[in-house]
Parts: sequence; C-alpha cells; structure tokens
Amino acid sequence: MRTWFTLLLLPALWLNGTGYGQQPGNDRIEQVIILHTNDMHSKIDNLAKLAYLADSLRARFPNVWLVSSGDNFTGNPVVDMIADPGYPMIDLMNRCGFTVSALGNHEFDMGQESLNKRISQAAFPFICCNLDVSGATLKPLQPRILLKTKSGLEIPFLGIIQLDENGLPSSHPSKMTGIKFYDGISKAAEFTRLKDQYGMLIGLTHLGVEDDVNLANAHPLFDLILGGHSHTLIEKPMVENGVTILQAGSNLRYVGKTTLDIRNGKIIRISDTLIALVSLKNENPGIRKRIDTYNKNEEFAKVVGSASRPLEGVDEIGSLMADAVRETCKTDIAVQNRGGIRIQSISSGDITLKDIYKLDPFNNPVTVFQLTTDEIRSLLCYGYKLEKGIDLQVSGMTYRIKDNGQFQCDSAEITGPDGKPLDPARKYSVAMSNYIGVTYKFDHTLPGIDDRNTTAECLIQYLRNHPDINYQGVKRATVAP
Amino acid sequence: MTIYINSDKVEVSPGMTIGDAVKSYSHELFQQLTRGRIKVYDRFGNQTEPDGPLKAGQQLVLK
Repeated sequence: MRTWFTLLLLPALWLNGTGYGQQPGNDRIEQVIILHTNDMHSKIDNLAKLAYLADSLRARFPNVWLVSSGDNFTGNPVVDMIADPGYPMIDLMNRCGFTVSALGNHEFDMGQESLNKRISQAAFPFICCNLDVSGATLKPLQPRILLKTKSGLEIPFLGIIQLDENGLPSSHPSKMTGIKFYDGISKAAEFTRLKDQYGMLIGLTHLGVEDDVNLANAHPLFDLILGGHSHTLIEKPMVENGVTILQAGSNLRYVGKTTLDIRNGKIIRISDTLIALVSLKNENPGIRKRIDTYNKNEEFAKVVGSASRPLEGVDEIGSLMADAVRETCKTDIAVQNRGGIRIQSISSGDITLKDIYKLDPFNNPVTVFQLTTDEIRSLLCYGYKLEKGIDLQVSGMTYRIKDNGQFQCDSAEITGPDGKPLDPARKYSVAMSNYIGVTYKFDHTLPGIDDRNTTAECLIQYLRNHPDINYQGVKRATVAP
Repeated sequence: MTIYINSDKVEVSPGMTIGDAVKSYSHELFQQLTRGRIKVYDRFGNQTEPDGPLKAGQQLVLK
C-alpha cells in the first residue's frame, strides 16, 4: 500500500516542477519582499527610517527580508574610529532586523580580529563562497544561507566578494593575512546545483555591476543578483542573460524594495523599486535615539588643534599631513598622496578629532623607507604618472617635475630644506602611509619598516604641538612650464 | 590602471574613487558634478555615485 502511494506521489511532484526538496506545488503565488541595500559604509543616520519601513512592511506581509550586499563599515568615524570599531553599525543593523549580509572588501578594514567580533555580534550571518580562512584568524563563514518563507519554501542566497587584480579584495593586504581568495565567478559554479535543489537561486554579491553582468553571463541559473561595491544606482532593473541585476547606490541614501512572485517553487516575476530614504518621514524612535547617542560621542568633539588661516586644496592640506608624519616619525622626508586627502578644505579655528578622521579615515600605519635620491625620484614620478599631474605632497624637501609632454616625468629636481639638491650619495629616511608603500611601484632596495603610528595619529600629535597652524600659500611640488 | 571617461583614456591610481578620476580628467566637470549639474553613468546607463571605486577598463559617461 505504502509503495503504491509513493509511486503515485512521485509523478505528482515531478509534474508540478518543484524539484527535489521543495514543497508540493499549487497555483497560489507566494510573495517575498526583499529590502536590499549595499555599501552603507557606516552611515547610520538613515537606519531609523529603514527600520520603520521594514517594520511597516513586516506588519502587512508575511515574508520580508532585509539584506546587505556588504561594505557595511568604513566611512564614519563615530562607527569606525572607536575602541571597538564597527560595534554601532552591527548594533543598529541588529535592531533593524537584518537577515543576512554579504562580505564586502571594507569588512576587512578593521582587521580580522575585530571582524570576528562584529560577525559574532551580528544576529544575522555574513556569507561568502570564495574564500578559505583555514590559515587565517578570521572564523569560517557559510558560503550561502537558506531563507525560509512562511509556507516553508527555502531560497538559497550565495555570497560572493570581489577581487582586485592582485587577487585580493580592495583593502589593505595586511588585513587579509592567511586568507585564500578564489575568483568568485568561477567559484559560483560549485554552487549552481542549489538551483536544482531548491528551484531558485539568489546571488548576494559584492562584485560591482560589471562583474555581476559577467556572473549572469557565466551562470544564468541565478534568478536574481543583489549587488554592491560599484555604488551603482540601478533605477530600472537590469536583465542580463535572463538574470535580474539590482543595486541600490551607496551610503544608505536608497534602499531597493524587490518583490518576488513565487509559484510552484519557482520565481515567476521580479519587480523592484528604489526608495530614497531621505524622502521618508517616519522613523523608528528607539533606533533614532540610539543613533543620536552614537553621534554625540564626545570623544570626536575634542579639539586637537587650531588653524589661524583656512587651509585650501591639496598643496596646503597635503603639506600639513606630510609635515605631521615627518615630525612625528622623525624622518628626513615624508610624502602624502593625493588620494589620501579626503576633504578639500579645513576652516580656520578649532580642529576636532572628527575633522581629522574625515580628512584621514583610513587608519593606515606609517612605513619608513631608506631611499636614495634616484629612488625618491622614481616615487615622485610614479605618482605624477598616475595622477597626470602632481600627486605626492612632501615635507623636508621640494620638487619640480619636468613633463615630457605626455604627462610623464622627464626629470624631477629635488631640493632639501636648505634649497640645495639632495645628496646623491646618501640615503634618506622617507615616511609615507603604508598604503603608498604597498601599492606604488617605485625603486627601493630594502623593504619599508612600519612605524607604530598611523598617519591620523601623526596629525593629531602634530596639531597638539603646533597651535594656530598657517599653511596659506604653501606649495612644495610644482611642474616646470 | 586605465579607465575611460566620455571615451577618453584616463590613468588612475589604486584607491581613487570615481570622483577623483573625474577631477583628474577635468576640474571643471568635477565642479559641475559636485554641484549636481551633471551625473556619472556607467556603460549600461546606470547612474553611479562619485564615491564608488574604479575598475580597470571601466567606461564612464558624464552628462
């Protein structure tokens, strides 16, 4: 009797097309609402509105999931520059009821130990399929998660992280020691069986829209890719090779509201709307109060120095930063790259800790190299070639580049503080952010040695030692006419 | 690495954002971008925020 019943049931399951492991189908449509965000970068101010939106949808619909495509951190000192970095962001994400997050490259900025703490703190999992942490401090992550609807349908979400040309995500290489990364698009092939198993498959990716398109072309089994990393505002859903690709900008200015219509265990329709959070009036008051507490961190309002005149532009601000590093690390010379100067001006008057971290949010330690004049020249010229103009601001020297007419360095005259050319026979100690030390291609025979200070700490010390700074008109790097 | 802005080749350094690349391409266009008079779009026609990262070969359009 039992065998007869089983034989009858199996064809019924086959005919309705749910596949192995899913519920027997019927023609009823089940809806899932996914609120998706990406690249929030510690911008906590709109989380109270997001929470209100999520809760209001949860009150009306049975299946509402709140997901992040990674890069939850790095971008706000009240979250990133505290003793327990990132804690406020996860606390608030927990209170909003986030369901899952992909791992983004900036998750590594705080280092693996801190990231472990944040992952433990989170009431939701972080997922990533293309890394191996067996030799690392970072604890293992699930490659995917199964989210269950109220009717019992399970939908797999697969996490994938981007890699730069060096084979690592975009973070400081020292923060990812011991972790092996694999190409995400290739690795995803190992998980497309999830589509056979569950009838549906969603990518929660931190690849950037270009590679989301490549992923869709390589693996059209994905129903949907909720992407991040490239800060793309996809207002009209992209469909590539039958795969829907979505992304919601960055910094929690928007959230995407995706509705999945599911029938017989298959997604039959996907619709998406981008919601500008600034346009929402209502917010969760409890979460707002908590955000305000984090923002009022008095530590960041502390005055560390002052400027008697405003500082404008990369010459003046970059020279200040280079002076700070040179003096604090006691080197002959220091350099500051243009990409590391994150604000355009500093007003006259008090300079607070918050101002420092807006200017220099990276927490990069200083590295000191011993370089000859020719090696210094190769560093300056590399920066010039990258920027197609002056890149490196300096302390302890000045320089003048002769352009060969194609934005390349024909020569660079370097003079010391006494106005005379540097001595070609000696080596000079040159301090720089270790981001420059690692990523810039310049000549050096010995590796750099990390100083215990970060570039931001150098700036704080320098400002405390030099009240009423005045950098008006300072210009130490020029291009010959 | 090389990216393209309005079909022009632009050399950029690691760590630069889209906004940094626009600034190195044209200060005037960067000012228009920061004032909201123009926006950046990727090759698919999606608006891309100026604080986004760069990828080798990326094609951006300012309009």
